[in-house]
Amino acid sequence: MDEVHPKDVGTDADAFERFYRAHYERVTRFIARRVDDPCTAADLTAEVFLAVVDTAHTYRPRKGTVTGWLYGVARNVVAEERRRRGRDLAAVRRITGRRLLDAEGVARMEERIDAEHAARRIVAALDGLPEKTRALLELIAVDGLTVAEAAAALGVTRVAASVRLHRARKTLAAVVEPEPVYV
Amino acid sequence: MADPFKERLLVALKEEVASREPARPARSHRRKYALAAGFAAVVAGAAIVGVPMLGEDPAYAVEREPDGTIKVKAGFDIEPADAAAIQRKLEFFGVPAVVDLLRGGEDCAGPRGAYVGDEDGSPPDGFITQTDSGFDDDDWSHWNYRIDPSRLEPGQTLVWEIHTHGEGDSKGVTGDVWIVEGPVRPCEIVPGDF
Repeated sequence: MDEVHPKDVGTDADAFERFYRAHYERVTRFIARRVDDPCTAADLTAEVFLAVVDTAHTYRPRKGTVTGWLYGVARNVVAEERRRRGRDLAAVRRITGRRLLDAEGVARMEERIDAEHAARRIVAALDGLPEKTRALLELIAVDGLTVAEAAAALGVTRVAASVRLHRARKTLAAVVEPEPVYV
Repeated sequence: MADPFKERLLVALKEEVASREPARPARSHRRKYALAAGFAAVVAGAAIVGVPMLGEDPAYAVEREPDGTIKVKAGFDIEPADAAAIQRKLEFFGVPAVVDLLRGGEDCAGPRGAYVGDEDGSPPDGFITQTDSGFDDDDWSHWNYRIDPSRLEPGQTLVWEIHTHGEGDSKGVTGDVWIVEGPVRPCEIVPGDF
């Protein structure tokens, strides 16, 4: 759903609400495909939308779709969280998502996380691949982006993404064939 | 069924938006996400025929294609003299241009003039497109442009602000491209987000 342009999203609360409602499910599912803890998922959801607020003015239509741009933002937030956890550093958060969770919110988040179980297995299976290959495969095979959208999310050209995808498919086949995942 | 978390988070985020200055976000965030999202692209590698440079890794290139379009390439090692040379060469090819080089933390005060194009100031579709000159396993982030000068109307000028920033693995070069109708304001350097 690309009709909500990021323009003004960082400075206009009404524009932000339209963008948020249009993309909330997309963002939470993206995160649920990568983390299995409702509290962390809530924190990251808040972080992604804060990053959207911070960077909305940098979006340029000629660089790709809103979806591609949004997934790029979300991917960076998740990657930063992983780096931080790897170094055992606590995040300084402007909005702590988990504090907004009640029992109902936790249950909702757990439903999403359960629903994305198969996708998380694929993400985990890709862990050993080179970072650029993994990022591309995740966005296309796991998140369902088109090659053009994935290219925009990663800041590369469609041609480069297509070539990378072609190479990666062979690698992916080797990775997932021993334990196929049916979705 | 209502999602209380979704609504509470929306309230908190809208408060964040409402509390912000209308003009610009925190510098650290723009830099972090813009770089990581790939707006930064290290341009390296292939030598391009027709570049008046020594060495195998030119800092810039400007060349006209048989179809009349112009390929422009800028790399991280670009120098102020190179920016001036790009401008001269574009003008030689019939493209009125203003090219400015900015380092990390610098920006040109905007607007540079009356922008032509999309509502956000981006040039019209088709004027400038990204191209590949090749790719390899270690660097698939080449960032080259192809400009279609036939889409420039008389009295319009291409304004290209080249930004270099970062270091090591995160170093990169980005370009803000505008088309300005009429006079172009000189670049007044102000603190930038990159």
